[in-house]
Amino acid sequence: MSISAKKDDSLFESEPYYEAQGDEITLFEAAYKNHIPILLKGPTGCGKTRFMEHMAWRLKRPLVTVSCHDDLTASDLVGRYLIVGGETQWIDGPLARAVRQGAICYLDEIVEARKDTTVVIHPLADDRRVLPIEKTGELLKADEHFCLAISYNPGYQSVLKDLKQSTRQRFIAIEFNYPTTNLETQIVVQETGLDRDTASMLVKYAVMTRNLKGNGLDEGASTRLLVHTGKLIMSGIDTRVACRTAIADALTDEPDLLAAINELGTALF
Amino acid sequence: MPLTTAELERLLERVLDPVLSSRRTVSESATSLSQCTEKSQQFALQWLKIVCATNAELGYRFITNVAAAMSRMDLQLVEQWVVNALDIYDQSGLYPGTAALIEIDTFIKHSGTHRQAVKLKQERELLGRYLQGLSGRNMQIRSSSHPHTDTESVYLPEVINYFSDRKSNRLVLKAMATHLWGMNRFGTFKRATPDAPGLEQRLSELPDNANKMSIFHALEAERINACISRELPGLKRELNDLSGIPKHDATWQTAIDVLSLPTSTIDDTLKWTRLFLKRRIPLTNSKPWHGSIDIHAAEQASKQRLDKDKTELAKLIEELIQKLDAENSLIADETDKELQISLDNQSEDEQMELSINGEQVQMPPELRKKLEGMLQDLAQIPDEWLNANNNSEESPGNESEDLDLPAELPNSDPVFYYDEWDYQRKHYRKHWCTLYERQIAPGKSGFVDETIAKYHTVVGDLRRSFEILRDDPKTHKRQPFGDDIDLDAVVEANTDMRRGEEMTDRLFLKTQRSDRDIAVMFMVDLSGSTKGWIVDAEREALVLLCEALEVLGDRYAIYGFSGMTRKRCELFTIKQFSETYNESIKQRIAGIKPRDYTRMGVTIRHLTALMETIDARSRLLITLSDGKPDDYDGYRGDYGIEDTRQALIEARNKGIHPFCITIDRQGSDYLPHMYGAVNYAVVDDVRKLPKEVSEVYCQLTR
Repeated sequence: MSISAKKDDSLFESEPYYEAQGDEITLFEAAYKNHIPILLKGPTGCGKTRFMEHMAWRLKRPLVTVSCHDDLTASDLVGRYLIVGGETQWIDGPLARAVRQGAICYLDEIVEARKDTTVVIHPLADDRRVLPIEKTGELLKADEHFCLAISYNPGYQSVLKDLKQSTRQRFIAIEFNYPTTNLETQIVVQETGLDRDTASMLVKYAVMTRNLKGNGLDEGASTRLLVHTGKLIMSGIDTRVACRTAIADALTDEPDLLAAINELGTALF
Repeated sequence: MPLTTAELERLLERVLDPVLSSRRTVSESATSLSQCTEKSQQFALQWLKIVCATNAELGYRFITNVAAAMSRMDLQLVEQWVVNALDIYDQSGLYPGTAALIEIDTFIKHSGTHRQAVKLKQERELLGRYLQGLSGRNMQIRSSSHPHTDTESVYLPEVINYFSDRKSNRLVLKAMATHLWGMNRFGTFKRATPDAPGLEQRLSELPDNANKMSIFHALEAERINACISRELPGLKRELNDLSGIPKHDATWQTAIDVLSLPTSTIDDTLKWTRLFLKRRIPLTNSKPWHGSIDIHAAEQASKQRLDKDKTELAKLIEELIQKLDAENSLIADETDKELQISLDNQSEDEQMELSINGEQVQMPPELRKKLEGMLQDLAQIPDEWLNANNNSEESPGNESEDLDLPAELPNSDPVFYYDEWDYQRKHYRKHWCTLYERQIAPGKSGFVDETIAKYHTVVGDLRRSFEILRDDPKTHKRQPFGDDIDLDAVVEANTDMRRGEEMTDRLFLKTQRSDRDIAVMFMVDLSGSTKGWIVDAEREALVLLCEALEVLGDRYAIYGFSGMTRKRCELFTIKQFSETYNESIKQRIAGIKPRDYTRMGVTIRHLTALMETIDARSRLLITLSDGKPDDYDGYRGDYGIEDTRQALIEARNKGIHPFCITIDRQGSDYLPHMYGAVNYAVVDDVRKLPKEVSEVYCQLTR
């Protein structure tokens, strides 16, 4: 039995912390109201998943998250028959479950899944909003609370893995990026409890690593790495050590690049 | 037995004959050498041959000084003395090279601390990345006897040995580089407006004094120092630990306190300079890392850059407006759009905001980067520059001129005609380019084997990683037969059976090599000028690539391109898809030579046409280049970039993925526009090109 899709539905009781970068919240709400599915694109660690959690709380719907990967099949998403107590029983997959519950279904890193798996979402992603379940012959219609969202990172990746036009043109796209310096500082402070000055130095450090993108680094430090660093510092780890472990060593293994990133770190801290 | 004077004289005369004359003889050298041990003599003669192979004049200097050198240093150190001089010759030419041979004392002084001394050569790459990370412009690192900057480059000394340990010397070098960066970043050269008087002029208006430049320089250094300390507290702390906090007399301290305020600018420095000159205040001590400024060179560089930036800014803003127009996010149909940039304040926390007709708009990263760069040169961007597009007449720009050149003599090479895109007319120029498919004369056949030997560790690594890529075992599920049982399929089949449906026989797992169906075409820039050594690296890169591709089994083709003017574009076939990698292909690679210019658009169109005939699931077109499109008849700048971009769009529309690998460090300025934000890679050191090309390919086709 393969354990493929990671299932995680939750109804959020308390507000997941999220700072808006632009008008993404209003955009999402508008799309939700109009039953248009949403595509989140942006580099790793800049808030896509947190945004989804926040919107699920805001709209008071459960969130079903699926982390996509190469082995994901259509039945992993839709469901399959299992033998339970000598009888066959249909068990919904996360997608079908979300449709039935009127939940928000979030397919994370959709390009990792194979294209013949991805097309399963097409009938849900246009104005039909239905999920055909061939095995049972059921045509599951989404109620008005259901919402489909997908995410991917358009960055440095294989030419073999990208989003087909027939898939992407069913969505509205919200672009995520690293937040502005003030916002990012605020996020680090909020998530870690760090003082504002140190937090803003960390953000400065991240910006420096982002300047190296393309000339050695695929991606600069994400906000997530800064939060990790902040948490280490709050636990008593020396700042320079925290920067080295949570930022420099997390970004690259190449010794020349590591040396340069560490030089930037020691110049700051 | 050591050689006699006479024997030495004969030997030396033979070796150094080209540079000897009636006044320049080897008799003195021979005499001094005759008094050395046999071992020393042999050492000297052996090295003489080596030095003469580089340069005979240098050889003469060497032999004149070597006896003295050997009398004062042991042979190991003498060898370092020679190698050092050869290095300096390589970098800076004959006169510095000979000076290094003559100045034995200087060498000895430095060599005593050679272990502690830090060489710029070894730190250059690290410093380059460090400066890039600090932000602002990409700055080049060059060497010079006194550290200074001209706003395009940072000049640092070749050797640092102020202190007796390596760590401290590295810190000094880092501090120097940071200080010079700081001058650019914190506005030493900033003017209020493009027409405001520059630094050179403003300094000339101050009272004259022998110490004028030194005083100005020292005051400005303190201001920059304070800025850097605020920005990089870690560095400040390390420097204070290293050299202690300096003490100044009262007058200097007052000036420093004022200049250290965050609000101080170059204007304040000039004010204090004037005051100090009037009162004839003497100089104070300064730190070794307070660099200097070549003001004239800086202003020249700055002016050129601003002119270029101004045009690029207009273009970026126009693109933004077009994009917003297309999205209908602009208010109604205003033909006269007012643009205001408001800088919230001078500190770094606030970001610039761009408004059109009072409404804030989001700036694309290229535009933001351009503005940030310009704001280092200017306190404010003039409104006319932002609104340049409102009253734009068509400026002539760079058009592909129609030079009256004789047409090519007829020969048997196949000829093709291609359109070219004129971005200003927004039309194709029909049949504008003539492209000839040419053959490459085979080169030395040993070249490929030599290259593989040279890079044998790299080749080994590449083969391994490509083998993994090829053999990446994929488990195919639901197979009619295979190595293992697919439990998911069995469970499903079971349930189907119980429900009375047909049970499939596809119940097995098969582990198989992944099926790659990739065809890739490599387009190699063979342009000439002085960059012949880049073509060498490209050649080596191709050799390694072929070795790796043979392992992978992807279909591949290699073409070189060059040419001069639109009437003679040349495409050199190195390997066609249908050919096997054999001796004649190897000879063609060996025969690659640098040629003429780089007209990329027509080449891409031709290769796209060739690619269309290939049937593969994924088709890639990878360009290896050292810079921008550039041809003799005006195909450069925006015209060249836009035509290349158009050709790439045409390729993409036909299902071909373009990608660019370049060693042009400025690549990130124009490549995102041409190839797309993620379809290029910059290799910062040409020596890494062979390895990087293969690695990029690996990642692209994972």
